Amino acid sequence: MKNCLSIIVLTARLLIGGIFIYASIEKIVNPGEFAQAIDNYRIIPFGLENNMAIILPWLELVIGICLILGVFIDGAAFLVIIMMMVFIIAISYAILSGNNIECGCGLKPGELVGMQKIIEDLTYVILAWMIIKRPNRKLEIFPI
Amino acid sequence: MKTYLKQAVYIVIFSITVGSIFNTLRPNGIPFFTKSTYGISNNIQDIDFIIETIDLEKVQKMFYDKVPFIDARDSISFINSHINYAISQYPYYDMVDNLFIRQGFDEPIVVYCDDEECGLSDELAYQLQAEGFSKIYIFSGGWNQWLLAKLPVEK
Repeated sequence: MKNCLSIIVLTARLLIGGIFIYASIEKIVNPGEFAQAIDNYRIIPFGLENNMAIILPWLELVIGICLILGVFIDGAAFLVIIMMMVFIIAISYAILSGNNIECGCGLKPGELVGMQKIIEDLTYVILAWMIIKRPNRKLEIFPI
Repeated sequence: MKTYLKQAVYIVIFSITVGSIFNTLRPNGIPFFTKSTYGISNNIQDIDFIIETIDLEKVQKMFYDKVPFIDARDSISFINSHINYAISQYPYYDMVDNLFIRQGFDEPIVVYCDDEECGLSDELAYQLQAEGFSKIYIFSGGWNQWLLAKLPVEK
């Protein structure tokens, strides 16, 4: 059972890490486009969307690298949960406002906000929670 | 402080630092706290800014005068079909760049969305005006009226 859990946790680390790194690349390459995607949600005060477009992709990239390499795993998984909760709130707000916009997730071009994205983000929250509660600390470079 | 919080703070500080340095050094970095500054003109008080709603007749004339049309609808609707030669507002900054390179700030632009109800063209018009474009025309009948009039479309 413990071994099985370890394998699930390792898979979750690689999966979330890979997805975060992949999603960050497009946003780092085109920060202006990502700023516009954030602006489309209409929840960020004027001007701050650029700031988020500069920092968020790097945060995703660093979290992804941490999860894959096994560095600061608890902190990285905790940040995954926080980010996903924020994304869920933003997507829910867009859906409730009838704002049929692109989600700006960086995974598929033209991907719109919707329940599917919320379920996807909730899955990441559960996986990140499992990573925090992992039974052992194997395959971690810097396990503090 | 709990370990995971401490680690999270380190990750956030590192990301902010690297992201900020990278954005400062890269040639196509974006401003930190404001939107695009293309629109800030030195002699802004000398420019007449217009946002005007126009009907099908005037829009047709502008179409044949090769005035650029900007589609304010979402990307999927645009990909499905749009007014011939129109460009999508997405990716937004690419559209603004291309428009500026093509004709500068003071030539007319037509924006449209589905119909009078949709509001996206009004929103885009004000956004473009904030960027510095001075002559913006909103085609109130939009895509639906264009289709009804059987005018040229592109798929």
